[in-house]
Amino acid sequence: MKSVKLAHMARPASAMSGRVLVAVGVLAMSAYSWSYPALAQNEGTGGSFEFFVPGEGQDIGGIYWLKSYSAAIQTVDGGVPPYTPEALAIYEEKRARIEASAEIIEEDQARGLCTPDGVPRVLQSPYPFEIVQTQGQIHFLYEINKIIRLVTMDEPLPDDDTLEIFPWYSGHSVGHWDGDTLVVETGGFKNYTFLDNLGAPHGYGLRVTERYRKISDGNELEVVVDIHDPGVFTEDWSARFVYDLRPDLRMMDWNCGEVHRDISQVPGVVIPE
Amino acid sequence: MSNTQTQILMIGIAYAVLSAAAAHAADSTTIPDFSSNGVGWRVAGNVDNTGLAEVPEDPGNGYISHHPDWPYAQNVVNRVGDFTNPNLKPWAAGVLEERARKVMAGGIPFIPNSRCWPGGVPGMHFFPASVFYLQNEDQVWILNNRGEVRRVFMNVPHSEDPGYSWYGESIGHYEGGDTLVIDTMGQDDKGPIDRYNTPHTRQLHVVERHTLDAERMNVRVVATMVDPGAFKVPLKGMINYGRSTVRGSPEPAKWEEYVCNENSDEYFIPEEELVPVPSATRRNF
Repeated sequence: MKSVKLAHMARPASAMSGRVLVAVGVLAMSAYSWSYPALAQNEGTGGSFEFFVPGEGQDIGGIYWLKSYSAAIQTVDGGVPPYTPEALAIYEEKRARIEASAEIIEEDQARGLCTPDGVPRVLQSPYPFEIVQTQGQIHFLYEINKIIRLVTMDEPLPDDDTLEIFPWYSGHSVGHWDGDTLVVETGGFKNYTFLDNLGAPHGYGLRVTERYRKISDGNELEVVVDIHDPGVFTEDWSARFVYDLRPDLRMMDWNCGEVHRDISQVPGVVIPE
Repeated sequence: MSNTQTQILMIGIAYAVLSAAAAHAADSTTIPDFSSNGVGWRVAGNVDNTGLAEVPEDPGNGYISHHPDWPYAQNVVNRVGDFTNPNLKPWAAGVLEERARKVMAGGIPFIPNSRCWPGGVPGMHFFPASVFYLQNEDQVWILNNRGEVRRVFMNVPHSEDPGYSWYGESIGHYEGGDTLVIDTMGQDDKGPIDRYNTPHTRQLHVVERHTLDAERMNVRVVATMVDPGAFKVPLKGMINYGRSTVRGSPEPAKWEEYVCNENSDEYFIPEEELVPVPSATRRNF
């Protein structure tokens, strides 16, 4: 396809000389600092836009891709989560049907109808996701099922009644920073999502706390997830997922049932025959 | 390097720096705030049943409107596109006529996103869902709470080969302090350009101008659609957005999860007339 340029469009950085690039960069910084008035949002009275600048050590924006996939969710030490006997029986029944065939079982709406995977299942997706940080909000945009998950910063979770009356697939999420760690608390889930890709069940009482932080000199993102669901587990437990930062990737469109990007190179992924 | 050369270089650098500063100051002071701190926008006013409105001061060649002999009447006459519009190439007129005659016979004029398929560009604008903009220096994201996500890469050229996809590849820049200009190409031929499902080809090239009004209460989107494979001339239409409010309240509407495919059964339309929602039968991992 022929490449086109918009009128007045900036030249690509690679086409600019290093000296001009540096000069423009320096000036961009200085001009930025004095040319923006204070942000005045939601007032309907003018004002210009100020790009959000994360706090020190709190820039987690970007595209990430799971380092290693496991269909079954595991505890941080690789063990089996502490299911109650009843929950374990439900899990084993679903797991047996899922593993028996590449056909999607009817209860798995996330695969059959591409409804949101819920949390923590979406954290183990072998497709990339993107984090967008803006003023007062962090958006998690998952490629799988084009899931949009909003984390509202520095606000309390809705009360228990609201969470029960208005459950969402992805739950209601609020977040705050603990130093360089983003802490996300989520409750108010619909109870027909699974906890993993093999049918692990949960109840309305599920509460999830995710702790995200950059590791490996900023090249990886780690999340440790605390799971609290007394109707399904005998005690609280934690799982851990690690993702590579992938600035080389672009997120792709998703439409249920269509062929999507190749995920065969993600360790642990088995493509059904 | 001689003193003179050094002086010339310093003057040149200073000039470049000052010019860049002036240009940047002008640009940076004029970036419109579409994101509105998480408040949504919703299609509002002056949009007819095609999903588009005429641009009052510069209508251009307009868009495909309803058929003059079957004027739209809500709940009485459904949407019948004007397949006699002279701007349509013969094959496109034929496809639209086939679709229109099904509606004339009592069928339902589905467009993809009315049954949870992606809307594409400009189709994403045609569904009355709250729309949200996220802005950073390099990118603008346009989301709606039907789960649609568009990405606009700012101040870069199009890729040499962006391929084809539901939303194509969008690049953008700001103009005049109040406008986001988005240039989109590389869409496949599935997304709607109006609510009649007027066909188009992969040559579709859409330029949208999203303009925020002075009070920051409305966004006007003017879309120009060029497709030499389907249209004899560029088509043009407008979509207006107002602040999205909580139903029955002046409170601004914030993000809520809405899942189109949920409860996708339809009990009042015969199954044979329904366009199926997107679904999968086999796992791919």
